[in-house]
Amino acid sequence: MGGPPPTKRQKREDYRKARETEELSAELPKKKFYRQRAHANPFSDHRLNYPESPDMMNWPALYPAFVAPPVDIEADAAHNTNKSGDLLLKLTKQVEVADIGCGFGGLLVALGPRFPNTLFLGMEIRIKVADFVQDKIKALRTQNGEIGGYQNIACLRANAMKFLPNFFKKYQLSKIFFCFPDPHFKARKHKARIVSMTLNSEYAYVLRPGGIVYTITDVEDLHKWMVQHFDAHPSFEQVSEEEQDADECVQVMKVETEEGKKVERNEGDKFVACFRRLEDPPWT
Amino acid sequence: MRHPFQCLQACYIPGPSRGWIVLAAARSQINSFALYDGTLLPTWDISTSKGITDALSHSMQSVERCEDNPPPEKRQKTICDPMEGRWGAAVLTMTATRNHRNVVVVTGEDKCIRVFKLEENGRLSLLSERCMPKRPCAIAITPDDSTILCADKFGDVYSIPLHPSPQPTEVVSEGIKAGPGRTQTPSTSKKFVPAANNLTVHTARNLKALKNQLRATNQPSEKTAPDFEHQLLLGHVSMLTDIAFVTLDTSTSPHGKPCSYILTADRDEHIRVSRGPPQAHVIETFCLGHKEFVSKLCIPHWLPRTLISGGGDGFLCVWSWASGLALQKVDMRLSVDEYLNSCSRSGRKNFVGQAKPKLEGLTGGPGSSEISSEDKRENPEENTQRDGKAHEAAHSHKLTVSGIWSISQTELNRDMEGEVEGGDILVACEGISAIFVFTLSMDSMLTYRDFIPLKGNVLDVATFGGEPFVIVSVDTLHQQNSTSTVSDPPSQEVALLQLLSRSSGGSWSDDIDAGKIETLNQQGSFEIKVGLGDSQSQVLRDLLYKYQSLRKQEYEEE
Ligand SMILES: C[S@@+](CC[C@H](N)C(=O)[O-])C[C@H]1O[C@@H](n2cnc3c(N)ncnc32)[C@H](O)[C@@H]1O
Repeated sequence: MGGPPPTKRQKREDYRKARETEELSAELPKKKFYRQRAHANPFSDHRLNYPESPDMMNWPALYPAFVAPPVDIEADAAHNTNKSGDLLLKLTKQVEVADIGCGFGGLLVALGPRFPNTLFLGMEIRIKVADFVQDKIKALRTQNGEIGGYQNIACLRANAMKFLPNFFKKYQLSKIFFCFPDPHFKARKHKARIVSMTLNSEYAYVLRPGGIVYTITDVEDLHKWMVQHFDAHPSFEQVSEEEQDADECVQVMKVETEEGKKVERNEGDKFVACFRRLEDPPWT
Repeated sequence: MRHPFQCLQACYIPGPSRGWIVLAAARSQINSFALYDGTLLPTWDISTSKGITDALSHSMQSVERCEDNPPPEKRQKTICDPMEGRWGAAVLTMTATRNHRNVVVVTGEDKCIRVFKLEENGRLSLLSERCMPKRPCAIAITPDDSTILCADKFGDVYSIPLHPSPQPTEVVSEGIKAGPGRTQTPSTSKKFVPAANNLTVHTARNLKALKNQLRATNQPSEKTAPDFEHQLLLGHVSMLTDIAFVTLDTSTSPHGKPCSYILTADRDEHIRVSRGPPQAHVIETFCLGHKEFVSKLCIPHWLPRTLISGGGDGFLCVWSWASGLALQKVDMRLSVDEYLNSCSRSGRKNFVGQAKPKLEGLTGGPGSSEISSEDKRENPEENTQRDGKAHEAAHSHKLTVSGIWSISQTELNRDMEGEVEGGDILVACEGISAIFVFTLSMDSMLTYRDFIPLKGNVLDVATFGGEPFVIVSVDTLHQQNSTSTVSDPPSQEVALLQLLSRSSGGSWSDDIDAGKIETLNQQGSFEIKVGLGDSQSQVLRDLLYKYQSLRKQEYEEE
């Protein structure tokens, strides 16, 4: 009685708070509490959290099941503490696969169980969408507690066009996914595309030689753009169609992403292209 | 009151009766000054693209290149009425080629890179003028003097030849893997020419309108790519703040043969290390550790594997840059506070009277270190206190390293015998009226030595290839240690430039023999009116203190 009706924001907060407590934690989150404008500007200064450098990243918080037993706590404490003085524990393995612009996380959830010993990270610039994926992974982990499922997937709110090198070291990744990236149709907005000649150098930096970049889109013009830009970049070569078709990840990417499903429903086209990271050339 | 010199560059003219030339830029005007005999040489004005023999006598130097000289009437107006004529494109950087035959001048508003020839008599003559697609922020010149690397506001680095080829046959716009079929022919579309030009702009409002006009229409799109040879080498998704090009020779290179690198610094705390062309697409590593934008990169040529970077976090970081390894972090706050405390203890008398804050017509823009509002109570008796407050403002304000200069002791001590160890690093912070002296040892240890108090905030420093002196350009307009409070009355006795020299013992101090630069101090630059309007003082402040606007504003999530 009395008072204004609860605002959308209030409802959202209440919902997330309820999820913190036991009652909802095993239930998959509802998308309607995580809606956000379709586009976030990759050039603006969002209030982002990112580590100063990969060494400062608190990975154990994301993958608690993969924390390495501390060998020598004291020596570790001296060397591996972050800004807030927390001890930075190490993982038994590094993140190896990044899903850039992971959206609602369909790909992560599909790939995780298929490669249980590989760590996957989704990166999403829209905070509420990233929150959704985090809550979803939390719920899946709770539901699959006994078998330890979904411990190898995680999602971060991050602007991958600016801060990839803050998270990943040189050659750390073996796969990078770009699934249905925002097309930015207007020529004036092409600089906002997540694939470009200059950004590809950064993807090459975090990807190890032999590693694969996966792209899929329903926009033919964007497909051509991505092929043209990876093809023109000396660090990449396009993967043959046979090899592409034989790749399990390609099949998953086609059907398991939210966008992929949407395109399926609308009977739209899906354009796939994969690129192999080549060895760096010898110094000339 | 004279317009301060926002930027300096020293050049050496070889020959028996020749020596050092100092180039000093006041907004769009470049004074050249012969340090060896104290004469003021012909002046260049970028906004009119005209050489001026003598700004004071209004006579014009005719320049070969400019057949379309404006009628004498107009010409004189530009010269004698600087308030109207000189708010054109301001000089951001001046860089000499290694052989000192050319000077590359970057201006902001018109996004232009101009290459000048330094004549034997010390005069500048314009060779070429190229407007970049985005506003250049910093440039580097390759050691062979063949190529300019231009880092821009949009995060891209383009390479252009020092001298444009006479007839561009093909224009490579994305040069990472430029093979046949990937080149682009020069666009045929005409560049937009605004109706007004900098000559006809009379008020700050007009200027703003002109800027907007230029901004709105000269956006590069596929249609308006530059019509000169240029190549995109690399790019960040962040404004670039500085760029360095280094070649390690066989003895210092990690690969046993000479290797070149491009280092780029951005507004998102990154320093990126890429290979030099033609492999600029290969990122070797990052130097990560600054907590705010990176503002400056300095690689001492006598210690080429070491980088000293400065940032908006007020830190200096020392790096073994080729491996991205942080060696040392130095908080400038400690040294700056030591200097500020010394001001309020002993030096305060010096500021009183000479530097009363003028309050009307100058309110701090966003991010400026404005004195708190209670200072607006006009009360002459409170000057002392108010000056104290100005320093307090600087005390609490976030520091930005605005300049790092290296001077090797090899050169400093060339007359002395024995082993030489390292060199001197001079550091300036934005809006701080002192230079901070460090020693960098050959094993890359940076040690703070001392500060040199100056008569105004440091704007730029000219170094002379390791000679034991430097020239510092100071802000004569604003109060010491404030970027927003104007001195009133204007401090007439404060010179635009100060000469500092290093004693054989190694300590730096004000040179008593400053007579060397007297002509430049008295006749260089141009008069500006006291009590500029708000927008003009803002334009001026943005020119002198360009870093404060780089701080990130926190956005609310929608
Ligand atoms: C069209 S959606 C595709 C989502 C998902 N990959 C799928 O296929 O269902 C593109 C996503 O990329 C995200 N995105 C765009 N730019 C980004 C950036 N710079 N960093 C991280 N995510 C970004 C958008 O917020 C959006 O959620």
